[in-house]
Amino acid sequence: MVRVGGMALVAALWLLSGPALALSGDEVLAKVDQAEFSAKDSTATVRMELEDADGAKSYRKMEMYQQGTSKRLIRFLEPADVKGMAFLDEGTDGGMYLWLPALQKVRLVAGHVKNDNFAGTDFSYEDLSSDTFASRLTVQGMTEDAEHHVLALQPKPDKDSDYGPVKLFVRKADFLFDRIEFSDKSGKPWKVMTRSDFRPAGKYTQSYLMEIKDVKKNHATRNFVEKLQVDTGLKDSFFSKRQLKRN
Amino acid sequence: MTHAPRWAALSAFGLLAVASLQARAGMELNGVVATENYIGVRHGDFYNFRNANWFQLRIKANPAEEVAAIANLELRNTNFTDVRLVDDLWDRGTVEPVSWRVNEAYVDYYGFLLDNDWVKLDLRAGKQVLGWGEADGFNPTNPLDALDLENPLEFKARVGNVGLKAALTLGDEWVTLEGVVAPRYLPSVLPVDLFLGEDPLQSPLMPAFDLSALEDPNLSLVLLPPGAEQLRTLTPATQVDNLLGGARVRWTLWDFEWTVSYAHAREPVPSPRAVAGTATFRNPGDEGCPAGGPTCVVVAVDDVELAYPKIDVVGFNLRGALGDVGVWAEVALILPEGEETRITVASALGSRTQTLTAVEDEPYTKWVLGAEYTIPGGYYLNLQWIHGFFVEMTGHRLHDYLFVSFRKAVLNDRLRFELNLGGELDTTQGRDGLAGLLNALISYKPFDGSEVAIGYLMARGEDGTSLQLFEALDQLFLRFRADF
Repeated sequence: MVRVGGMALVAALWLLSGPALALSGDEVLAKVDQAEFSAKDSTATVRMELEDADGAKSYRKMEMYQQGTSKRLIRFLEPADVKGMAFLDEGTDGGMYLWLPALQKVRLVAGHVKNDNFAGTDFSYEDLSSDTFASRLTVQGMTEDAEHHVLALQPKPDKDSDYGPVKLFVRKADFLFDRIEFSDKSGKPWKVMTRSDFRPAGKYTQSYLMEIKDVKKNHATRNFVEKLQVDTGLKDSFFSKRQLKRN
Repeated sequence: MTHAPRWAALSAFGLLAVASLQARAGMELNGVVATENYIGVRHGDFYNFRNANWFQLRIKANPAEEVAAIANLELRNTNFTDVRLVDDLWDRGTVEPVSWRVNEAYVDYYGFLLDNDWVKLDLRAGKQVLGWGEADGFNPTNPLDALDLENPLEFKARVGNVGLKAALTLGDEWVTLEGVVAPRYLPSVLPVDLFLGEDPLQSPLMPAFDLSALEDPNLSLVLLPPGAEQLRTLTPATQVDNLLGGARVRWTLWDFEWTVSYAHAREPVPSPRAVAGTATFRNPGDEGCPAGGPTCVVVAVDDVELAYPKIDVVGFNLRGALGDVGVWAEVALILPEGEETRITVASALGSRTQTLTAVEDEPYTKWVLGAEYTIPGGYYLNLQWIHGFFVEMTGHRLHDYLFVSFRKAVLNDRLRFELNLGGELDTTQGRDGLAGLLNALISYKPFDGSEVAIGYLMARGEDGTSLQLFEALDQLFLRFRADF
């Protein structure tokens, strides 16, 4: 009896503490942002593989620099016809800019192209934006499976987004996401982003393989991280138009 | 054949030297090989076929993190030959001329002497294209870069000039101050054969030349225009008072990029400074003279001296977005230094000299207004309203142009359709001042770094319009290109 009573007590305590320990959708999203943007900065060399509906493949290579939750600079290294082209997201208070080496000009990414594909990949300029999830999306609900918190999200009304409902699969173990399902505004499936090959990078965990698939076009882009450094001390001034056009 | 071992040795040495430098300085080599073929579709006009083959090499080295050395070199040949005499046929270089070009060769210094949170100074020294101006291809605020109209339809092309550029960035890019000095004036590459036409004195190369002032009611004046070989161009000497220079201030406010600039330069198109001719008196009805009129004077132009008028340009540029629409404006207030044309006509009665105004010293304004928008589905639209073409050098003769570009890429940017339409209006001429241009292009990238493009160009216009000059260029073109 004592033994049974002890187990009942444990069960009762678990039941009582359960609701208190459960996280809300907003809390999970905040933890995702915390986990995803835990590094102060990162520098990565990424090989991109583009695959079309017929299985034909082409490749890109780029350097990607990220600082905190808002600043990002991407520069293409290959192939030769896009080499030197670069993209800057100045973050919350700034704009998004492109460096076009053939014209030797920095161009503001105006609203009409933000939802266009970036250099033939399946990433739109909106996808390349480095803003936090919480700043862009509102939690509509949350479900769970064995390994994931599954957040149902919706773009915030003040954000100029082409996406409709978004489903974010968050790993319970570390609050990193490994899948995002994007729908268009009518709710039809549009893009699926998956991440795998999670490995330690410095004191953090990072995904070394990301795939984004446009299910409407049946076209996919895979990012293989070839080299990754974190907390290298990139300065604020690195994320500037001056740096963007630097040879 | 006898030179083969020497070439092989030189090539091997060159490759070894490049490989060694590449390893030491982290040198990057990139380039382009292209072949372009233009087929004239108006038989007998200008050319029926033109071919250009070029190899461009871009070399970049970073001897230090804050230094970049860049060279853009080009080797080019065309289907035109320099053979004039039978002896020339022995010389491969004359039969098939090849030109070496240094498009750009400069050194960048980042954070030169000043590199802190408040102030950063970057220098660029050497042959460079400045790229001033926010409009697409037509940049009236940029008189410092020479035009490169070797292909008359490549309005955006510029020739790099030797110069020193210093850019001072204040704070978190609050303001950027830029100063430029170029020690020499580099003439623009102009499609002279195309522009001169049958009467060079009435061509856009000499837009202000008006012989009506010479007319005498008691005489019937007949002018025999000069040939191209009688037109001499005076290129300004490289000396202190011929320096080109400019400065500009750039800042960002309300999500717009603002630029105010000043440049001291010269017009890209020369105007006549001196004309020498010989007059012969003939009877009415003689060859070339109208019958029944007054005494006929036939003036043969023997020599024309062309010079590049000095100008100062105060520029204003703006680029940003109104809602989702990208917009820009480029306005140039041009302050020309007046130029006169001295006309001397010698005859049996002696020599007579008259002076005409070639370039008025009255300020005038050229401007470009533009907008771009991508319609959902990826249909890109670009519009530019241009007031004043590059050949128009006085405020009284500025025409208005509307250029519309439409682009759509499919197959993940591999296949691209492009349609460019241009319309010209000379408001003083009404319907007689209209002209239009159509350029259609389909390009396909079968593999990464390669492109095949086919296009068509057609222009039509009334006499006196600028786009009418391109009528002779009606053409199909085919281009193959590989980047590496």
